[in-house]
Amino acid sequence: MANTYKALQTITVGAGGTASVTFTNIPQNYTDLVITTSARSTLGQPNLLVVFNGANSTLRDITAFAVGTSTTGSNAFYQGIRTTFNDSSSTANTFTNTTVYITNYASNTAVKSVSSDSVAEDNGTTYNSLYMTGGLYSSTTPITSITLIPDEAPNPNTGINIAQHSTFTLYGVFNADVSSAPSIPTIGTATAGAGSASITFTGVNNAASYIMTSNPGSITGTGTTSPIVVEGLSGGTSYTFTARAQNPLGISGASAASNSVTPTNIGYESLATSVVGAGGTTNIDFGSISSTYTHLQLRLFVQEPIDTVALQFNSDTGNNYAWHSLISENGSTRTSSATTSTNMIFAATTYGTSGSNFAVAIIDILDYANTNKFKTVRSMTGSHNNTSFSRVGIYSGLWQSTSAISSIRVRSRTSGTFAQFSHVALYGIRG
Amino acid sequence: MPATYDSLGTLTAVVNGDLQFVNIPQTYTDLVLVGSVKGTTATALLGFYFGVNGTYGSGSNLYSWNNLDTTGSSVTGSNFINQPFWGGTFGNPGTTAPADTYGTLVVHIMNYSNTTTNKTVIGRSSSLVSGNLLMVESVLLWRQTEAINSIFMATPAAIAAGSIFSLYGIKAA
Repeated sequence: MANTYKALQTITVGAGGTASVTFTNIPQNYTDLVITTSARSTLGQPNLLVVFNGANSTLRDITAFAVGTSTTGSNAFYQGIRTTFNDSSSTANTFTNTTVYITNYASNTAVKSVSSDSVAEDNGTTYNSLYMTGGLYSSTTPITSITLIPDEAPNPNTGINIAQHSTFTLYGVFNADVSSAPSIPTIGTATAGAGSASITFTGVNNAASYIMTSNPGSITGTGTTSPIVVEGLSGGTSYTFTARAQNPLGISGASAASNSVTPTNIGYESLATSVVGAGGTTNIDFGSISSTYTHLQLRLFVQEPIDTVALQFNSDTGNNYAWHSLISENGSTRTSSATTSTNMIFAATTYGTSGSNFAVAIIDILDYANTNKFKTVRSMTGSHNNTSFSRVGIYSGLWQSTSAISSIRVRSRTSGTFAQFSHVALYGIRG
Repeated sequence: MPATYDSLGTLTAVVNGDLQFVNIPQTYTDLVLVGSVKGTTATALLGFYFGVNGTYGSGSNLYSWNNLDTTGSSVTGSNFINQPFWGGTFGNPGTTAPADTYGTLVVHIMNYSNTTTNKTVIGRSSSLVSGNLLMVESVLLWRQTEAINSIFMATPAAIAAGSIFSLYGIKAA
């Protein structure tokens, strides 16, 4: 099975030796790693340590070793996983034979278990050692680098060198047949979300991961299992999706397209708009307001002959409202007003609007669906007609009900009529 | 179809001067102009001026506004009609403010693309300079029914480098 067991990096120590060797930028798309070493120390030092990600404080190993004719064991937290070393006291030209096996090295949810078999032989009876080591790297961080460094506990590597001609090879092992690029997966069902879509699919045996691609836009999401979520989509735009599988050898062709879905907007969504036609209208109503948003916003562009626009909620015409205002009128007077236990919230000024001049208001109703709170309203509003008749100010209002707001009436405070071209839009805002 | 709340562009003043949004798409309902603003004059809390469709300072005098403002000790107001631009409306720190002090500005240009009504704007600004505070709410009117396709922004001398403006489009259903 070509590419199931692949050499990734090889290091050969040159003249003069080296203090340590490091495999860096280890690819993350294999299942396990294997390191083989044939190494020797320039000084007397029995251990060569295997250290992950530059850290050496979260390693623990259990070693059974035989040195000469004696056997013993060790169970300790150490600066690295211990393997043996031919040192300067061993017969010249002898090098260790070591294999380190690291399973599931790329996991970001599991700690890493290590197994190592390591022997040093010198055709003698006084120096030879056999190590069987089980180790644990107690980190859920994927392994991206591995350093092999001589040990001199408690202070590692104070001048101990790895001798010339020592070799180290890193292999990646993949747990599936990657003699070919993966097959095409089977697309499932797409489901729209807020600015996203979730798409199911049926995977294939020789895939390491999957890529979901949108049409239009070629926006992608990746994963290893179904479903895959694609984010960054535009609300109101229809998308289909295709799936591809990939492994170290390549990427499959694209699947058939999924069903079409239209994501909603993230955060700020237009719910309804009312534009007043010829003849005007007395009330502008929004009903069947969904409780799935966090806040509501009304944006008013209106003309009304009295002077004030008011709100009522859920058809409540009882004296369950209160409001306050801070208004600057004509640039010359500032007034504040307060009314309690009344039957509507004053929320916008239309003072002096006529002809082509309309008043505006931005009205925020926060936490409108919360059934533990009365509802508080805040409005920023103003009107101007290029004369001294103008007002600008802020309103606050309270509806003394814990019911979720499901309908809103926008009306004159008395008997006024909204003029043609008045425009009121309702938006839902997600928290 | 545009999203409900779209970013239409950002301008960062890299040199002292004026800035302008042009070719504003007409497919939205409202515009929201958000600014982090500083002026170049060596005075604290100056005005921020702007105009639309190339009529800034043109002498057409089609602009008017009404302010509600406070310096923290009192609430005041002012009203202007027949002006050549929207001016003196919102505060921004001048160069007497620390170098890292910018005023905040949010302006809603409502129903900007309609060709039936004059254009009414509402906005808020907050400018806090050591020892000086200015908060303003203002309603503004441009007496033209044409759709707004550009916004020109200035301060009494110039907009200071580092000021940032973002323009958003809001689309009603």
